[in-house]
Amino acid sequence: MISPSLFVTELLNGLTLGVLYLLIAAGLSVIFGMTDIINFAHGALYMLGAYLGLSVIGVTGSFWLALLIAPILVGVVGAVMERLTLHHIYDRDPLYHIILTFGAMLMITEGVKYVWGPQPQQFSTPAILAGTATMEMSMLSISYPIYKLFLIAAGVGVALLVWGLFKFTDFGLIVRAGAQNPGTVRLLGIDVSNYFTLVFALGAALAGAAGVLAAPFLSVSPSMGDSILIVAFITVVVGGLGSFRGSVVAAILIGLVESLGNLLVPELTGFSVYLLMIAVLLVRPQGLLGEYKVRQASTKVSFDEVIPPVRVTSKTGLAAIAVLMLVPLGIGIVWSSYYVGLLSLIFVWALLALSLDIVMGYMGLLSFGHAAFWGVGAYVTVLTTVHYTDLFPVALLLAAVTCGVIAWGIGALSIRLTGVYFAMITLAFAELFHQIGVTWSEVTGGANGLIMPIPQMFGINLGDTVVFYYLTLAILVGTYALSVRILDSPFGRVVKAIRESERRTASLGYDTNKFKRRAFALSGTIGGIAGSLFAGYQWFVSPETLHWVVSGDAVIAMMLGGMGTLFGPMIGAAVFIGISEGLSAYIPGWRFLLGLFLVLIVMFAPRGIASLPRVISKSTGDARSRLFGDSDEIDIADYEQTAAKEGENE
Amino acid sequence: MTDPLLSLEDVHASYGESHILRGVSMEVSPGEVVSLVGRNGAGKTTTLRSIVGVLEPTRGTVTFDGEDVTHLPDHERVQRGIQYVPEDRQAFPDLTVDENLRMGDLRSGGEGIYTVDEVYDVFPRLRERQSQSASHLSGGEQQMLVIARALVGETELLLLDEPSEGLAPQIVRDVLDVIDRIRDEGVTILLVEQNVHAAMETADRHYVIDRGQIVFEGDTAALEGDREVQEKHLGVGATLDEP
Repeated sequence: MISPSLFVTELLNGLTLGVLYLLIAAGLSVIFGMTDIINFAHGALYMLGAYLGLSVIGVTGSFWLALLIAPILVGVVGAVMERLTLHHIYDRDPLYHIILTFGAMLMITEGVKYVWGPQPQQFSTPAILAGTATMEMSMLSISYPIYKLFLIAAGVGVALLVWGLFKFTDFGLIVRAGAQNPGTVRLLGIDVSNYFTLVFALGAALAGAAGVLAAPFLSVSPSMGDSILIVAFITVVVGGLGSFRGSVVAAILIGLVESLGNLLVPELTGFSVYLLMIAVLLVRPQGLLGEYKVRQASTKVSFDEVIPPVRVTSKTGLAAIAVLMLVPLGIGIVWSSYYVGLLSLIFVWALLALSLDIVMGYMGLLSFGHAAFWGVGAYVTVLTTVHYTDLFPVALLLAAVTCGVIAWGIGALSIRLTGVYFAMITLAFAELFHQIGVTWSEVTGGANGLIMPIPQMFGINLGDTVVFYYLTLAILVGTYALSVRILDSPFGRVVKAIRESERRTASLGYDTNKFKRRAFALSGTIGGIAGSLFAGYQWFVSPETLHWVVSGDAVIAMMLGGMGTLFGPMIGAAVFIGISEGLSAYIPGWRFLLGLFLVLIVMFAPRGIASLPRVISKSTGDARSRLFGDSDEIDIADYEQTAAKEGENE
Repeated sequence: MTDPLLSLEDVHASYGESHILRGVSMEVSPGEVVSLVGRNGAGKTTTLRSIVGVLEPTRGTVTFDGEDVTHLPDHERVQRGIQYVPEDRQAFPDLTVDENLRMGDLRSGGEGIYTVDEVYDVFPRLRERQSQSASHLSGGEQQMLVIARALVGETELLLLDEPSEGLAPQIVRDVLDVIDRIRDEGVTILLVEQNVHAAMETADRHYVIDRGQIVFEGDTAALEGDREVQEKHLGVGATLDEP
């Protein structure tokens, strides 16, 4: 039996937690409400706020000054970030905003590590808020930290402040109008673009305030924003994208579900929040208080130029394979076996990026949950080889089939969602698997993970660097060739048609959901193969393989290379892994450079590395035409190209 | 003759690759009500968009009140007194009627023709619906709201894009009455119409546009008398001529 005192204490804990989520989600919701931007840098801005607060306290000794100054500084950082980057690309697909803010997140996190150092730091509670308050009543006897009570009050204060700002001021009116139709606001003589900057700054400042408020209560570390970011996303989605009131309600609800849920149904600890989000998205995708907006539902991945995949049998394809086949011969002469191992790792990641490109680049659905396939593939492989057979190919096959089935299941539930909603539900499913990996320790080994025997097959040692290299290369080439083939088939043409316009494809009589489900299952299968090989690469699996960061890295590798080309994502994976494994050895702040690289790619070469030859030749071409003044002819050539393409599309 | 309030000289404009305006020249003098008539796709809306700056002309100049505004951003042109009421209305659906009107009053610039209070006297229907969200209004009411919103800001020139499009005949009457009332206040109006009869009823002077070029300019009598222009450029057939 749960005593009333325990119940009330848990209730207060739930409220505290909910207010904490509210504080972080508030800024996210404000930013999304006007700009439709999913700000992945929000957790980093929150963390930055905590560190800046720490420094202000260090200088002035006042918590209250920190609470005032740190948010302003974070707001300025947000304004600068918006002005330099997002400001120029609002008309792009939301996906690019995600990548860009992801890059910004890496840069801010590295910057903080550089300035304040990577160790967690202590942030003391101000004296006036230290200690506990006690309450004695007939059946209740509660003592509760004063700071947590203060936090609840502060959360209510911030929520009222933001609500009042939007409801009663001219600023709020313009922002609400701008959220509905920025073009019309301009036609009323108001330069709405400045308001986008202000709103982003406001959202960032709110994140900063949340950081300072949370700091005495949690420890301050560079990674403090990572896990809370996902909860903040969930809050905003559950509440309804773009609805501030919804975010408030959802934050409190999630806090209560988490604390009371743990009390009443301890088995669901860690799962309840994700289950709540999945349930909301399935039953009411627009969220508790939101409205389903087409713009948020559409990740419109439409390309102005089609870059066809390089065929395996083409000269480039054969040459690339030949060069890669020769690489191990150089061991000990030109390079060490370390680099051959690194190439195998790149091949494995290339497979994951390739699998993502099938759903994202070819079908236009942003999956933010491919970590599920990567991780499940790895776990199935390890468990199979530990318990049942030492034949690695059997484990690989089993991993592929399992992930295909899981992908089909996730697809069956969520494939009718699109855009941001689809990204969020796939994220939630992946996080469920992550929780299983962490908590089901009898089978998965919990956070410690599992070690697997060296992979082998009929006496051949697959763990040997060179053998494993050829194995991954062969699987990669085979999968790539097969994918090119499939996407060129009638099935693939329907998939591509869905990307261009699902409605039109459906009106031609295709059951688009069926095609989407199958393509997603195919993608999951390949993701599972990649995960299985990853386990084979490191002979070990841990819940890290299921963490959302893996999904994020896969999206980045895909984008970096150039989605919708199949070979681009593989190049992206090579660059991404090359940078993270290669540079990390030499440059301490390499993640900063990676972030910068991502930002630059989004800004200047949105079709990724695969499009760089065209971007470069186009700009030199432009320079040439300016030089000779024959721009008219170029225009006509462009025009004919476009006309021809439009003809194709009809 | 007084200096024109608005003049377009050889304006070219295009959307991406498709060249819509091919050298449009026209003038509107202060206090005039001028119509721009043409078939679907002739370039009427594009002309308005070039005037207000939603679309930047690729060639030619737009002069407003003696100042070259060709390359000014749209919000700055609006601040100078060009008000544009687009065809698809564009009230803010989630704001109340009152908030919609206040949005018209927030721009920097001179006084409007009406204050928010006065505009309710001109449009009594809007006062009744003051605190309802704009999405609950009928099409005609939304049209009134958007015109009213334009008038609470400084309005030297009102650009109306097919104000009666898609409205029931009785509501069309109301809208035309409102336009008459606005002209009596001395507002200069450039009206875009597909329906030549509606244009002739409202405006004093007319331009006919076809395939991105002005093919006729003259007063109502001249347009009425020019059967060739009507048939060739407006597709007004002999049997459809009289209402």
